[in-house]
Amino acid sequence: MNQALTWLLALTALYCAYCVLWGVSSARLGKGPADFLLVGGQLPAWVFGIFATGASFGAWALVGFPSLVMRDGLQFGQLALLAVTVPLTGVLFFKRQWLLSKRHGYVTSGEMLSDYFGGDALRILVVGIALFSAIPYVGLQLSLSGSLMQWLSNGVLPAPFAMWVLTLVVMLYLCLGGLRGAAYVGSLQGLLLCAAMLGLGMLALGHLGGVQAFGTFMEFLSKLGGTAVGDWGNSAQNYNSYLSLPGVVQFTAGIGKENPVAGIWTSAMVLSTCFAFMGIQASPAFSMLAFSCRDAKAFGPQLVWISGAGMGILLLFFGVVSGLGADFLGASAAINVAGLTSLTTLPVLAPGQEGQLYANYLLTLADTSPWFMALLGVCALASIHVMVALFVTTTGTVIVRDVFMRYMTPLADAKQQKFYARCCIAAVTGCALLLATFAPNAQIQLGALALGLSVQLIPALAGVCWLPWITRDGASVGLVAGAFAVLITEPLGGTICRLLGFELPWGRWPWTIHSAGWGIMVNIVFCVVVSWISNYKVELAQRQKYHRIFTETAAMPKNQRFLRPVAWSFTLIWFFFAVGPGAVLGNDLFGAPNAGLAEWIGGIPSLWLWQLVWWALGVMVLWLLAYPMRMASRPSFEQMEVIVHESPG
Amino acid sequence: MSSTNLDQASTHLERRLAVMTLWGLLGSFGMAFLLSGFGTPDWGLGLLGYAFLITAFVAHVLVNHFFDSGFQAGEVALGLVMVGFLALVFVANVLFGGGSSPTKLGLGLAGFLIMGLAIVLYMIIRYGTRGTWNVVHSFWYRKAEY
Repeated sequence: MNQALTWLLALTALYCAYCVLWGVSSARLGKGPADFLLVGGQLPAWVFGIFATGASFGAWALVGFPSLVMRDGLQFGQLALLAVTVPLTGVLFFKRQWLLSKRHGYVTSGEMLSDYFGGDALRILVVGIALFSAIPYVGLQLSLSGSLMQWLSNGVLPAPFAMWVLTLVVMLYLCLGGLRGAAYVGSLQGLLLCAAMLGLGMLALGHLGGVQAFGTFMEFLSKLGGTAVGDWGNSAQNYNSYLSLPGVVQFTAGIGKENPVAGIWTSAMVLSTCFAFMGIQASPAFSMLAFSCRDAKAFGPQLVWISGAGMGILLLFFGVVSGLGADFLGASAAINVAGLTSLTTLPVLAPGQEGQLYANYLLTLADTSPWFMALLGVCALASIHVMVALFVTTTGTVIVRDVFMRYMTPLADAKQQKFYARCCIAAVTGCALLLATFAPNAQIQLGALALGLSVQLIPALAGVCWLPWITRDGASVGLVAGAFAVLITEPLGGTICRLLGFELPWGRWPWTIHSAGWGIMVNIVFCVVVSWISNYKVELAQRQKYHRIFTETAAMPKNQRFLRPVAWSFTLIWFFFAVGPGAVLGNDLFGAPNAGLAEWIGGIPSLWLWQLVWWALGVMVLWLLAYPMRMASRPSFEQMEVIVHESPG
Repeated sequence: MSSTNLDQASTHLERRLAVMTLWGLLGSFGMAFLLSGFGTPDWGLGLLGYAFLITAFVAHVLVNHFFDSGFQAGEVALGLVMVGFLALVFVANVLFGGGSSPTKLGLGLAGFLIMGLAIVLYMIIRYGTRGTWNVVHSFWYRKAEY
């Protein structure tokens, strides 16, 4: 067995032992079901901060982002601004959901929605979304873990074998420790994710020749900018697709019917994909994570500084360098053939194989520093498992509380509840594992729905937290309509229609708008119209009682309310220019991609500089909303007394 | 378990989690850089490894301060075992490794020096100069009595 494989197995075993140790330690704390399901509402702020960040970004940020930047260039790099839009959902909803949970004792978002709106329609829909989004999505992550081990071991460890072993370890520590075990292990997993993103970027820089070779790398990009090299060719403005956005929107029928020109990442696609990822923190999993927090002081720092600032710079600088750097290091066949680089540090990656980029980077260390290869490999496993752990434990909790306790065994004692929860966690993990093993194609099609479905919860959450005029009927109908729109703009919808005997006239993501974007637009229209029709005074008064809590504990002081129009205007302007139609200005505002290095202000491609500027402004937006606007700041002691001691109704 | 005991157990667990998390991150990367420093050999990588380990130690001290506790007996024992093992490996490599390069030798000696300085500095900050002397003195005499 060679050194690299030995190190990989040794460090993976150590990592698995660490996970199981914390599963056992969490189980031995010996508290009741509230502790197992929700950490007893006592999750420390620092653990929440790291775990939530890791689970929000996960393996996508470490493995997926650089590989797609390598394939599509800076137009995909625009999605690094997810570091701002993802926590924006948390800024909007975490604190208010947390206040409601402290007041009313909610464990799941289904309980909260059912209690607020009345009736069980939304509870059932939340259970459906939790299952349909979590199981295939978790399956995709588990598949990646197996593939990673196969790539890093040069095929010695078969992917299914590695996947099963690792998944059984994950299942063990989650069944033992519940959400507490998941969060405790997640505090290291989140840090390993960040360390690996930094490490990958440094590795890429090292291969490029170090910081002093950054200029050479920029020269390569400027040469690339002057050509039409690349899978997508040039845009209408004759800008290379690697260094520019291919327009605001393209009215194409969708992938599979009519592919867009010069790339798929138009501003419309970027904006709608941002909406899709905002669904992560709107999902039932994150609602429950927010409920589990001991103190609302966790939210502001996690959302603004760790996610917005920290993940932002990791994605925007280190992620982009490792992605575009891979093209310079020999990973792109088209660039090699055009003679733009003579380096062969990385092997060429064929279309569809981009996901292997991370493993290929690590394999360059196999001979000289096998311990580093193994360590960064374990970091990638950690980045996969942190997201898996949250979604599996919370989905198990949803099934226990919203199905078993609600309809089957409402009088279950503490021991039974924990037993059911463990069974549900094992069942969810098992289903995901079986899907990944025996139906990988179905898993991909189902997994593509995950983010789009989760984001459909936003109008319902907006109703609970901000807009009392949204009714139960409006939220329910909007959610169903939005979910349907997501389905028919993804490949699974096309498959179902073909089975029913007809062909949809559009393909995937028509008009270069992500299915989540279609879903949320349809959702909002139906939600608003149906809410307007069904707005009954008695029910409105009932919902207003919940919002009174926010007036007393989360509202801005009167002398600062002038900030509201300022903050929201700033937010809308940010969305327009950072991830919306205005983003195309970044193509050439700081120097056209084909104008040469001397014309680039800042010495880097215009679009990259645009992304950095709007990232910094985005962090300011997050700060403005979280702190001065009090949307994610800690309530005062007096405000907490109101929450805890005021009687309901 | 009574609720007070449970709270204490939770706090103790949280402290242990903080310690294991910081050593899990900083310790693993520190050891990796150290191995690269000795393996290449390279002063920069080796010293970076020591920097990570010292940062982990300082962070551990800060965690102790935050949780109003000190180093646990198990932590001290593990630390001594790890340092002892690494020292043994280094000495064995020097004696039987067929000649060690000046860089490796320098890195190893630097490691002993840094570790010693870190411990002395910690004790001076914690106990003061006289207090440190008293601790060492009383430990020495207790050992002599046995």
